[in-house]
Amino acid sequence: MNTEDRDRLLEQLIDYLEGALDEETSRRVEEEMVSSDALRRERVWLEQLYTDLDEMGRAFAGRVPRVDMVGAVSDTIKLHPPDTDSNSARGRTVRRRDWVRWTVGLAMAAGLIMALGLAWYRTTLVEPGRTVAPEIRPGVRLSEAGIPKPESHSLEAVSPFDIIKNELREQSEKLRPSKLPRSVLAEKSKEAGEPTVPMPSLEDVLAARRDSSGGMARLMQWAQINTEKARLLVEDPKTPAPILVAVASALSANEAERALLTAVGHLPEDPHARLELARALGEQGTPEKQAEAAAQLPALRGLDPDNALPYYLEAKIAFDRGDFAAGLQALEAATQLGTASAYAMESALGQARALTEMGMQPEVARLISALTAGADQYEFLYNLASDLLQYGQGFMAAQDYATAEQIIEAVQQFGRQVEEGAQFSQEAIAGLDIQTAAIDVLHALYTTVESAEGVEDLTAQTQDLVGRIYELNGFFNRLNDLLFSQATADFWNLVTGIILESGDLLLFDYLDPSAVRSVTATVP
Amino acid sequence: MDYRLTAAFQTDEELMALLGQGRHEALAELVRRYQNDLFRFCLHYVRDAERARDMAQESFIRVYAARGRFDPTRKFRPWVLCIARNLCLNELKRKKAVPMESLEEYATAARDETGEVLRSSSDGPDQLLMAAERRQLLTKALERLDEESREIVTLRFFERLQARDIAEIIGSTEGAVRTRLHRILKSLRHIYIGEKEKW
Repeated sequence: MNTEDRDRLLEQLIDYLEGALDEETSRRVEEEMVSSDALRRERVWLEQLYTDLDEMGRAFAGRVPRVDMVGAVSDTIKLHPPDTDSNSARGRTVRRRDWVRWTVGLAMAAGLIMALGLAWYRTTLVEPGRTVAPEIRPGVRLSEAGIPKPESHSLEAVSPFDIIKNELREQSEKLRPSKLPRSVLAEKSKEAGEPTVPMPSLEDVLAARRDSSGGMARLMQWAQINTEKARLLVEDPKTPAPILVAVASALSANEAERALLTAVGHLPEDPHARLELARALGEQGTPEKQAEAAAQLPALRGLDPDNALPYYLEAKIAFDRGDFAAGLQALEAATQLGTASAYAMESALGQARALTEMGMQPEVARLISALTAGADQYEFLYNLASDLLQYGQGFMAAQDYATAEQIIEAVQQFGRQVEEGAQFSQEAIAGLDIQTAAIDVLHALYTTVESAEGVEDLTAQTQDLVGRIYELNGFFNRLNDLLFSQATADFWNLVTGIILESGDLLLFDYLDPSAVRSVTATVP
Repeated sequence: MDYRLTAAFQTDEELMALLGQGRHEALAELVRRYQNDLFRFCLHYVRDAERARDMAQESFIRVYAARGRFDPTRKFRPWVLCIARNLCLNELKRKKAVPMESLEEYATAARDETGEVLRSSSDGPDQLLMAAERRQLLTKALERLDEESREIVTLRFFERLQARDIAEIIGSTEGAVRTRLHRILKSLRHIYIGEKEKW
């Protein structure tokens, strides 16, 4: 074929792939492809190029942080109303608080107090060792804590915040069936007894995932690491460190601590192992173990300096021992970072390997890990946020509203950071739920101090949150369509591969849309 | 019922019509829908997060300023992207920065943390090597394109715009955009094969 012919064919192929040809010309191109090897080869090359370029674009887009400029645009228009169709004045854009990098510090708390114009605020610096009012009860979860009732408030009975809060409740309710809280499911799986199918097939796993009555409990049973097998793996000196980390959760506190210390010894540069060790030590609850947990955090920060989670852990440990100045300092540092991660991806990959070591078929182990990824991290992150919020509420009860606001706003930021860093939908839900909880407490605070401006800010933030929950619900609708389809084992292997590489939130970015359409067309 | 609860169901063009009637809440919904797209779009041009954010924000201000003359028969998205592009290009001229400098960053994004992006779960070592080789060749080929061609590649493949929308954004015709796309893809092919032969 000469160059001119090749060029002509290439142009036609490009137009064909772009959907720019009329029906007749498209048909002619398709007929030519049947008879021409050269044309088919060009098509393959072009389609690969399109795929590669598309993936480069997706990867770039995946790294771009989310922004929130609703408030800033509104403020700019209010402060500098643009003339209709005129050129904008340079430099007039108002930069609101940047949700992505939001600094919350004592100085800002003082500034906020002044802005609120409430002269009766105490700007008390909390000294180390200061005991807080008895209302603070560490370990009491948010839902059990009382919120002080305001004596009076001048806000309207049915406010814009109430309206958007209802919408938030509605959207969150739609999200509920998609949540996989590990402890709840672990309870259900215990009630269910031993699994009737100890080594499930791919079809068993998918059937369980689709079964809304007892299916999730079965899935959790299969996902559980067997304690006896875990002990054998820990005793084997050849067991790789990621598997030691994965099986630690099946062991007693002391056994888990030893296994994780071994893992950290083998892989001192692994932040996931270090975090799990800090968690295991912290969960033992004694002051000595809390101190040992805290001792892991500097190394963790060094290994992953952009991760805010170690700072929030440090804050919680400091609050638990009564060192509120250190806790507040840690929160201030935490809120300046972009994301918070509990390494759900590493956890899911480790779990898949551990389940395979225990005799499960590799593709089934990977599917189970892919379908439950992030569930353990949800509980951990939400409980941490809940503990910190509890301290915020304690300061509210003690009428130290400045410190209360600092803590609660830090938790709200924590929720955003978790959401920002989420690779799995369960992590994203954790981030959204944390923000929802923080908004509830902030609303109580602003109602108490009668801050209409604070409530107005909160209304805008809640509206934005509703939008993101709505998007996540859309994602779960699409995922459920896939789950209920008659897709082949090969397709599920592809899905699992994507999830365990990039997280389920990017699943539909990487799946070929025409493949998804043809698979979901089989949904009964 | 509060208007804000129904905004989610309005089309972009309906929201612009409402904005033109003085319903400012409509702008908030448009900002919510497009803020991340616009930020990313501006990032392609100005290569700096803070400036990209300013450009995106200014684009929305321009949308507000032009609310009275938006033609509801046209599509909102290419219109707002056109505004953003013009702002970015003016900003680049003002700051004398080099626009659309390098597409290496896209390759880096695909290579580093998400370096596995170009393979599937069933790929063996040979396929991985081929994917890595392809990525490298593609990066080299993209680097050799001129600035205008790189813009078309970015708009078509990274922003996933169709030729008609690209034409509106850059102030050209659909036919001209398609012709340029032909030239770009043929050029990529030529460069790609030349680079491969050097190996």
